[in-house]
Amino acid sequence: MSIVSSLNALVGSLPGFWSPLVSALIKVLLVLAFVFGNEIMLIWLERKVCGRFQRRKGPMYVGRPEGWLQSIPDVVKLLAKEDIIPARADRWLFVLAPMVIMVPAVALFVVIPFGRGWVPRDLNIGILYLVALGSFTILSLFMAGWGSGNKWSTLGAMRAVAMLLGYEVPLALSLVGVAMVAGSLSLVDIVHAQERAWFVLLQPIGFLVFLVAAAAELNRTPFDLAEAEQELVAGYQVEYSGMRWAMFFVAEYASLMAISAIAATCFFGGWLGPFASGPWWFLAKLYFFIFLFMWVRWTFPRIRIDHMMELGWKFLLPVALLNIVLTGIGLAIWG
Amino acid sequence: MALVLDTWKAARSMFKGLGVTIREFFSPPVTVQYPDQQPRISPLFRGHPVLLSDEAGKLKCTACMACARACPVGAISIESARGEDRKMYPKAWNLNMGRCLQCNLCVEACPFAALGMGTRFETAVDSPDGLIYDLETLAELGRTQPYSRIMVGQKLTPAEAAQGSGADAAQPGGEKGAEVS
Repeated sequence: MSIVSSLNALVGSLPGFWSPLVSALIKVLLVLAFVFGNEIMLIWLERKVCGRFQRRKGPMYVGRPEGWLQSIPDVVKLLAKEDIIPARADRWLFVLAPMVIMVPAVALFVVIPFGRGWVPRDLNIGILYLVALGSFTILSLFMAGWGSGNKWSTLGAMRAVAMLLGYEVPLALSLVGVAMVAGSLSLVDIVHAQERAWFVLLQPIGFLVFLVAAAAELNRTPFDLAEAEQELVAGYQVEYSGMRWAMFFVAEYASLMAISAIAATCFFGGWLGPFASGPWWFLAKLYFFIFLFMWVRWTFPRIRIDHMMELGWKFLLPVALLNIVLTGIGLAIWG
Repeated sequence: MALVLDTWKAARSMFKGLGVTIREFFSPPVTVQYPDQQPRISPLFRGHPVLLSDEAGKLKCTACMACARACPVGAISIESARGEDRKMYPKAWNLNMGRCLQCNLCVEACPFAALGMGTRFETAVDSPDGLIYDLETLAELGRTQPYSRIMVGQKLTPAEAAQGSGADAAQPGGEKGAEVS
């Protein structure tokens, strides 16, 4: 806290328009450092967790103990790979897509409160911002799939777009329940509203809908229809190699972190804990949700596209609406 | 109502699946870090044939050529000689590992129980010459490493089979494996 306030004082003393500029720059750098620092560990963690779920050990040799430096040789290998742009590809779309996909994944962290007062920007439309940016990812998936000029890529992109309609609406509606109880769209206010009880207790149905829809938003198994290695080779990523491919990979883990952070903030009380509230609680919850999504990924097989649509439209959407109705009734009685 | 029931069933099966995987997560890994750790090889593992010796350390082989005739790929070549005690012994007994199928037929053909299937499995070499194993090598392997002698149609008792999949008996350089015949 004291670091933050002294930093604030220092930046505030800067003249004219420099003050907001420098403060924004510092926040951007901090968020990027947080995202990419955790990311390196996440890629390693996924391989370790996956290994343990299959009773293997995962990477062991690069960095003792437990091969924790494995991501670094991985990155070096990817950097050394040949950069291929297919002749039939739409050059601009193909080159831009991996850059575009990083934007929403990192920008989601703008409104995430890491601790009391530790929020890059407390927007009063926080949830709206999250939902709007979250669906933005699909744009780059579609750019990649369409721009590659490959039928598998196009199929993957089509699936991604079709799925978006199926899960994004229930995802948004499940967050509406949270906003109703908190009486605000700002994530800081939502955390403060959970001082008496975490919203996972007040919004159990909303929480479950959010979990399923969020797993779909992450494009991870069991909802990885857009890349579906066994059917579509790698979907929208088919034609990408080296660092361009790595951008998709990195963005996938950045979104995993972002979604876990949203879940921790909206349903598990953000930085609040039963004792000694602080950013460490947020971090613990963040990693709890990351582990949960990995657990789900290494447990369930991929579901079929028509089952996916059925789940989204015929089940999640009505249940999310029901949750809103129940929340409204509950607020009218006890609110 | 049916929807609620279906949902309940689906949720229950999902949690069951998650339960199975988390149990595996907390079980110790079965990985053997091979070059650093030696795997445990069952004494029933069928490697290539090795030459067995009696208690005195003398080879049991009498160079009768039964194994060479039984070998479907002609991997065994034997040069016989007569010793001072007028008994036949192998002057040379070469196994061409580049041909050997590890089929156990030589072991079955041997009338003197002088052959066994060894447990050595690291057979990689950097030149084809290394694939010819001579008498000394095979005799040494027969003395130091576990081996098995199992005939076609032979039924192992559960105890024998368990011994085969057992732990320390098959450590390289360890005590001799049980002769299951």
